[in-house]
Amino acid sequence: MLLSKKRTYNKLVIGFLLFFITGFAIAQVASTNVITGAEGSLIQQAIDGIGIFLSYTGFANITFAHLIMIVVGLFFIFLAVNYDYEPLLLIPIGTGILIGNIPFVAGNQIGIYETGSVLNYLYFGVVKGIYPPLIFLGIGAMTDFSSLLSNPKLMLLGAAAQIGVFLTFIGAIALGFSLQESGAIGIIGGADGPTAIFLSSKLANGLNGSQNLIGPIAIAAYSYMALVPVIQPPIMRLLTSKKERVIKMKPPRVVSKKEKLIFPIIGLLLTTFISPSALPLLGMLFFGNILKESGHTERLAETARTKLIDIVTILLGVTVGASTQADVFLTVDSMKIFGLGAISFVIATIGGLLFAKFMNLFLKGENKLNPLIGAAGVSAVPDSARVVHVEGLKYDKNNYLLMHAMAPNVSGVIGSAVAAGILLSFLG
Amino acid sequence: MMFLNANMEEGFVILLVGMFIVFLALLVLFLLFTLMPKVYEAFDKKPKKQVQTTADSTTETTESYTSGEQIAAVSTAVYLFLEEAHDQENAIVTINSVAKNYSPWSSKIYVTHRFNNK
Repeated sequence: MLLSKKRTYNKLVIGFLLFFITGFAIAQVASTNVITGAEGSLIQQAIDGIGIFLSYTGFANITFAHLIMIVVGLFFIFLAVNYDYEPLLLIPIGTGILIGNIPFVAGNQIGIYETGSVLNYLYFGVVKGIYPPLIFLGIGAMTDFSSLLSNPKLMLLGAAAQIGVFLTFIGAIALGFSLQESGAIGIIGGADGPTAIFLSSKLANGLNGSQNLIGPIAIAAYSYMALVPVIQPPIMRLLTSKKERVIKMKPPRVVSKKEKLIFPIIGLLLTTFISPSALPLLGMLFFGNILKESGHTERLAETARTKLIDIVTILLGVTVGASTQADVFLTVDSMKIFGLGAISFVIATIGGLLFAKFMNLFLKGENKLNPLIGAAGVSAVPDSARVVHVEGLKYDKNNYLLMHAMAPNVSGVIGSAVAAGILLSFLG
Repeated sequence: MMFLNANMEEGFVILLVGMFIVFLALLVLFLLFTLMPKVYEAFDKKPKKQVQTTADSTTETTESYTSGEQIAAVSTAVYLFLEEAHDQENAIVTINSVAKNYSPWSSKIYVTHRFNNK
């Protein structure tokens, strides 16, 4: 059974390869002949017509860079389907990469960078930073801040992890990026896809004298977010002892409804007064949460956390994927961004873990923190909290860290949005 | 700072100021929401009715926490209960005879796909 499946699979792959190679060969030959083809008989004209058509096909225009990007797109889809790594993001982005890297003849309003094309209109929401605040609205409407409210000191872990943003920013400057570009690259360390897209659309959009780095930054941010279960556990094990990993934290207290409603209102006023540049993100995040907690707008909250966020995720994912057009995306700078992105995730995780250990120096008894939860300060909601929970269970099957880890996780969202606001106010 | 170029110097300024502001924002929120329950208590202090305590009706006031174990136990109970609803079937597996109504569409006489198997 397994063997026959394998054979069918092999036949399919060989079939596809033959199809592409034949198509490529015919297109190459025909498109060359059309130039040399003599005018004359009807048949000759028909042959020329076919040649012209073939010269417009993807086979005639394909380059090695396109092939690489198509493989990357397929790899994203494979990761999502086979390993269930952020499928809601990786499938739209992976498909977007395929869409964006189909070779075509420029000038027919097809490509995402061609003014007037359908993809270009959809990409407008990315370039102008429209989609990220809408995503934040949905996140706000689905986030329960009660774990944070029951233990407010965990907010500081979300702040500590933002060291990843600022050290990556310095690293990008050291690698020769401009200040604006470095700011946009640095925010990858915030481990928050919408924030990364928002900031890069403002700082590295190709319009303010900087390069257009939205595609590479978004891809790096989302790829590493999907790889949180791979990146974080080794760092957690490296920086914590077995004794620390089994620390049981005090169960969170019950938070009243009133507190839950007051938090987004005060949070909105306070954080946006401190960092007004983060208003589009934080305003929408807390607005979504007010819809959820007010108790009178359940319909709106329901729409924001389901239909609206789904629609925007589809549009955002597919357009960001399509923006990785090979000629724009495959550059040395993109490779540097990928390297910096990986480092930023590592630094952010280290920052959160070490700060949790530092806080433990001042805490006693049942107030002590399990330092593993510091890793959840990197944002990447709720994946990093889930990773912390799973890691904690490995060492004590009765130690449920999920709710505790959600606190630094959501404060990481606030922290990264504030960090984005600061970078924007300095460099925008 | 001689070895740093202008961009790098500005970068370090942003690094320091940025981290300070991020910490400040979340520190203020932390302080505010640490104090908030206490403020609540102060405002919510209504004149309490004097409870007549009798020897057998004294109640201990304990902080009510819902621990992870309790949540897991309740969730398991709910899960088992819901699953049980399925298990309470009579467990008699029978093959009911299905009465098929005659239709020319399913008639073997009028079968449309007659393959030449000879």
